[in-house]
Amino acid sequence: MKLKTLSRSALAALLFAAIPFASAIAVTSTPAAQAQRLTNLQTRGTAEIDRRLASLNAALSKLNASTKLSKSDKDAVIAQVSDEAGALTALRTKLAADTDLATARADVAGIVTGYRVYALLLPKARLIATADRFALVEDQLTQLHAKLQAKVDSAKAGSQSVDLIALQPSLDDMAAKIASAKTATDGLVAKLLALQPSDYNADHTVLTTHRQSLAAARADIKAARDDAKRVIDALKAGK
Amino acid sequence: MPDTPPESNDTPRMPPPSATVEPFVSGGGPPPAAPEPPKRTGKVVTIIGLLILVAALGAGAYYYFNNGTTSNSNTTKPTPTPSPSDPDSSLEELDSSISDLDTDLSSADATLNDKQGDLSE
Repeated sequence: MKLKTLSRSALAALLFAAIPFASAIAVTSTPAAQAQRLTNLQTRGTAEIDRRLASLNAALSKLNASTKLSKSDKDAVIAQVSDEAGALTALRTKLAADTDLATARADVAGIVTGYRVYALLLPKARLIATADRFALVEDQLTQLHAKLQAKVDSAKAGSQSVDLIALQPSLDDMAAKIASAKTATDGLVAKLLALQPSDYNADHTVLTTHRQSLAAARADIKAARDDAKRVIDALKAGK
Repeated sequence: MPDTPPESNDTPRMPPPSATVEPFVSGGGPPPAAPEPPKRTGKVVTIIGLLILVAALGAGAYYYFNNGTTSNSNTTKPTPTPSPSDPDSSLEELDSSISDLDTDLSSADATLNDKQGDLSE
């Protein structure tokens, strides 16, 4: 028992006595440690920039090959993605040349907050392409509605045995749903294009709102499509 | 005195050598002229004609295999439009577009939910 207590006391004394030496070692190695931390930060930051550049270049390839986007929207999105890739490339060079830890820390933080590649730009490009597709579908629905209205009018004139009373409300509902979808998506591309990283930094739900607009338009489109199907089936049955 | 012997009816007479050969009947015209050398202009015209034919066939085949369009890989071929008076085909086209729309929305959602790496945003 005594021996145990004695050895514990000796170990404690030894550790206590070593404290000044440990402090001295820490103080003398600080510049080297800082240099290592700077190198680590630069390596990590460069890797993050490269990852973003790869994603942006992949997006650029897809955008250039896209035939669905309207030319003006395509040009605008490509310009934004290209600008961001250029700015990130410049930041990569700056980070590599940083000599102090504070500047490097700020540059690495800026990779996220200054560009918002994954949180804003890439989803924004996707949503713009989707919004363009909505415009296309809305146009198709409008044309189909015009055709069906002409058919119903013709059936009315020819006194065909179609339940015209039941068809017209479906056509009217179809027109209302198309109008509602158009209202939900109208100007959406311009709003999306205008979004900047600072907007996302201030409000992380900026894209969610626009996504909800598309969801509402999608529901309207489905309803309008079902109306059209109902009218077509009724016209077929009445022949 | 003449050199020729006097002729008598008893002496067999050989016909003159010219009488054994069939005489050439010329029909009264002049002798045929020597054959003319072949006309070069005719050959040239034939070759040019053949070349034009080959070129026309080649152009026709090129046009046919390029689907009636001038070959330009960057131009987008117009999508065939359904019969304007057929709501069924319009509905099919619409359904196809809506399907594409849903694919786009799914991609947009995937991108929105993509949290990447250590420096996730």
